[in-house]
Amino acid sequence: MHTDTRTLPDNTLIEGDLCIIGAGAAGISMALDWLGRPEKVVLLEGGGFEYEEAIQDSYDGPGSGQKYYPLKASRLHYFGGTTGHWAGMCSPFDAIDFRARPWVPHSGWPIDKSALDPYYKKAHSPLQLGPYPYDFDFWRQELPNAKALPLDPGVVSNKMWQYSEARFGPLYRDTLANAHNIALYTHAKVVELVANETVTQLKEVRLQMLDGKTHRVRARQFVLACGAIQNARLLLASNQQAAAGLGNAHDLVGRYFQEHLEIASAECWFFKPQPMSLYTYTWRKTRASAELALAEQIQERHQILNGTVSFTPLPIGKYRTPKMQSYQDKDPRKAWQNMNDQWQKTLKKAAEVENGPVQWAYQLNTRIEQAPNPESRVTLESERDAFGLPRAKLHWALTALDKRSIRTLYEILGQQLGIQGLGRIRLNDWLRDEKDTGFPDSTNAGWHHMGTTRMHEDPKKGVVDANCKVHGLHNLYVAGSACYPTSGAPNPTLTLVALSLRLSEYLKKGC
Amino acid sequence: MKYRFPAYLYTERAGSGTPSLTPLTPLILNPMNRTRFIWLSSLGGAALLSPLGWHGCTPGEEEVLLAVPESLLPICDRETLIQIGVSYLEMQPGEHQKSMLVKLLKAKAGDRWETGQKPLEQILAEEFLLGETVEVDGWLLARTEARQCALYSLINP
Repeated sequence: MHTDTRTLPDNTLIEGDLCIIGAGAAGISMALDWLGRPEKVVLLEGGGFEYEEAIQDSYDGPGSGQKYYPLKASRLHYFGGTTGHWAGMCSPFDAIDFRARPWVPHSGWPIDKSALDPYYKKAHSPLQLGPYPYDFDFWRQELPNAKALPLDPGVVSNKMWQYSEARFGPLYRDTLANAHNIALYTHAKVVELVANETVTQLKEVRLQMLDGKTHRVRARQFVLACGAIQNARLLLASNQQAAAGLGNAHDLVGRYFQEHLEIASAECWFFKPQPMSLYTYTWRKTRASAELALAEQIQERHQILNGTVSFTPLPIGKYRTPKMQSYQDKDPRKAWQNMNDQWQKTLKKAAEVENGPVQWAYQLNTRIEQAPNPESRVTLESERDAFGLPRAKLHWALTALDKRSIRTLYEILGQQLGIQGLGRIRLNDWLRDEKDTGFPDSTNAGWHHMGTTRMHEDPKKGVVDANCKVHGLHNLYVAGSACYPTSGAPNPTLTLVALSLRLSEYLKKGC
Repeated sequence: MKYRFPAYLYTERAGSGTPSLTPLTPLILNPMNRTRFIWLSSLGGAALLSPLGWHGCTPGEEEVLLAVPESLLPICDRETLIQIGVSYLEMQPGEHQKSMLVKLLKAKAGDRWETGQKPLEQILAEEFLLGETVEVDGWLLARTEARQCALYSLINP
């Protein structure tokens, strides 16, 4: 059943067994997992089925620290969420990503990878991905041209990726709107989480319409699935009963905001052409491809973060405008268009490039986790949006470990290329000074928001527990990448869907 | 001894402000022996008398032969090699003498380099393996090839 909440009479009370707040990848995956069950699931989406400027504006907010994308443009606020324009890159986190690593402050999940493995496989269904295995040996059989660079596998491995084209909005709209046990409400903007008097459980959530009407939703269990920034924003803004916000007794909500650093870092000059099919990705054609990654023992030996390296032909890479520059319009549609226009110009310039070894030279692009940093955080502004909700502010802060890890990654890769006599690596300007811990304004991020309600068994160290339940509140859970204590190297969607499906199963036992 | 890099061995990229990205022509991207031949040809007739190394060369010819960073020829043009050499010497002012660099390079290669018992590629691979590397202008190089560039830059000021 679908209802446009704007059509309801003022002060309507909506009731269900499970209330999922947010209809993006996490929320929709969970709702799909409850299809056909006896429980009534209320799925709330603040936007409609299409982009609306008045709704999207709610995501606007200031930033500080490391240069970032406009917050308004960094997420899509309608049914389907940011899957509406995502690139679809999927790969599971590595086992090391879940461990407490002494050289990475605040690292360690209360669960290990084996706890997520069955859900990774299950997540392939809503994401419409291929077979679950991600090991190179499997894909070497599947992809006839998958020839790996001859590097020492004990040092450098091939991290496999698959590509989803799933746009959750058009894909799952009818399924959920027609489901007998799913009550989908669009334009259901949640502006407050209301707890009971003892602030031990959530009583209801309050919806605000632009025309002034308000509604309430009550359920036995509530799941916040609005994305890492909006989840933190809602918890912090729900401060009528807890001055610092719900779940924030230890000043952790909004902290440890993490992104993936995606940045051109070096040039790779091969002595002769190499077979690069395995490392090449073409939209809608590539089933799976690889990026280079460092073995876990190498990360440990060098005390660095986990990251991968992708290859872009240098004629393209050297003319490419950093996304952090081309994606700066507050309107995500215009930002996307501008980025695409820049890309087309890049391709045109690259086609004019000269002959010679530059034709088999590559720009090396880092994709790396961000070290958890409590000073990298989401807070509230005094200014409010049209719904009356305080705007979010993002202070994105990187650390010396982030910079050293990237530099070390290329030192190791350069060494391996040298040992094998394959070629040489040249670090980009911004990476050459070992003592410089800063990042240039051209540093790209992946539009991956993570870590603002981090998972930890100790309420003093995390907002949610190992089951994604908010500490201190019996029936409030968080679904999605906000729960990540660390961010891994891969894009977050596959893992956040897997984590949401794990939460879903946990809730089924309780409902 | 001063010579000009043969014009046909490299191309200028039109409008380029970054000569380090200027590629070589495919001519120089062929197997090492051909590359070496081209390089040695460019050095003059005396060097050709001993195409496999400096054995029997005059001291000046010896320097020239040692200064050929063969490993980098497929990817670097003359200007880049000189710039690497200049930058290396700024980092290592104690090596800012041809005689010092010749001594260091010969010490590294012993009497094997020129006889082919231990090809340059192997020496460089071992240096990478042992971490005897240096970062020059962003290039991650084996120390020997960086020293070769340094010597090359001194010969071609």
